[in-house]
Amino acid sequence: MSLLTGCAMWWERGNHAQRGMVVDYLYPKSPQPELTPTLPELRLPLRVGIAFAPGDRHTELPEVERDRLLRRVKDAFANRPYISAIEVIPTAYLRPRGGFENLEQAARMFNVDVVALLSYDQVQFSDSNRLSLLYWTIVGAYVINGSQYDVSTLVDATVFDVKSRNLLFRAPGTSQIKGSSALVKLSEASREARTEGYRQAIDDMIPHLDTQLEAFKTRVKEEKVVKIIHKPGYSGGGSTDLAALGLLGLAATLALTWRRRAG
Amino acid sequence: MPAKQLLPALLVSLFALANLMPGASMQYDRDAIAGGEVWRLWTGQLCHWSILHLLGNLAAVAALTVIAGKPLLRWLALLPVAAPLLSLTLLGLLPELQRYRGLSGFVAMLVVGVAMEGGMIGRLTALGWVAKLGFDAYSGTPSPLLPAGISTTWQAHLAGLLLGLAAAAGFLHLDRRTSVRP
Repeated sequence: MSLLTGCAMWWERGNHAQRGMVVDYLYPKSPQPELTPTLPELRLPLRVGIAFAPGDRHTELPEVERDRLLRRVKDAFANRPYISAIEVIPTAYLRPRGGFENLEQAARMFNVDVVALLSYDQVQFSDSNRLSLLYWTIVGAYVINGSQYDVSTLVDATVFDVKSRNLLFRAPGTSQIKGSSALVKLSEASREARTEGYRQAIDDMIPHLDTQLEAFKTRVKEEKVVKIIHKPGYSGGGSTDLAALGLLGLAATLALTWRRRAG
Repeated sequence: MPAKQLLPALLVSLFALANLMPGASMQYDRDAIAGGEVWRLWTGQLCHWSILHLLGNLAAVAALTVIAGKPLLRWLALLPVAAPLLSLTLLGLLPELQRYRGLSGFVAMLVVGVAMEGGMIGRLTALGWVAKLGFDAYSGTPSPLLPAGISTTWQAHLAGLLLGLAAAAGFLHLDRRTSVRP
């Protein structure tokens, strides 16, 4: 759980970071919450909400960009037959340290059963390099890229069943961007790099989330980690299962043998 | 073209169409059918959720054909007629079922054919298959051949079984008339 992050932000000279714990959002009073073991019930097809975990302070990732990032995830999982809808929940609807009570309110408002909370942890280191020093003394900051930056981003999707408050599965995504810029453009360039860092981390997370979803489906089938209930609008299949195929195969073999013996 | 040749040709064409076109436009979809996409009444019973699902159902049809032999062909020829009847049964009896794909309603119908045409082995097979249907209805066990989130619609199997019994009554009547005719 230590990787689950909400968000907070600090500024240092040359460095910039946004990080936090999703535990701070969902369990604000207890750092190690006691979970009552319950078997979650998933009613298929699922309505899924997706949101960034809220932070303690205003973060610099604009809501438009957050919405764009969330829609990338939504598009990647939209056509699953067991998902009837994916709703993007704006961060404004989630209160910092709001806990499961706040999550349940948002889930009711958007009519979703399961919520995927995207946490993030981004650190940027900036430094002046030798060229920038050379440039300051002779030509000026515009001509030669004189400052370099390094942006590391971790995005972590944690999928919760809202009713039972159970963590179903999680998947991380990471990115690292290194670049350099003229000193006077460093602020703009590094801001772009930070936004690009989120994009790349989300793109890295999507296949991991897909893998974890497949693993979760296997656990549902084999270990019965959740109870599946079908609600109106479910998808069905007319399928002959392995036992029936075994029966038919055996009967076909017997019929063939009997015919051969009969001539 | 006589009906004996027309119906199998129609079945093969429909089957190819249903499985080669995108499943979303071929599947049984309650809202789309209500919106006028009536071809889904046929193709929904023939298209599949996955290759594994398709192979499982085709294997069942192949096994039934081996058990009953040539007499099962007239049952296979009935399938284009039975498809919309099966879909209409689902529309009427399962309002919660939004989407459906699969051939196993037909398989259930062919099981009756096997009981009628397949001798003792056929009758025993049908008996075992009906017991399995009862178990599925009671336990709700999902088929491993279906993708996650898709439930086995045992009601389609029951509908196929009932349609098969109706077809059996029809064939018995026809057979008697043919044998009585001088």
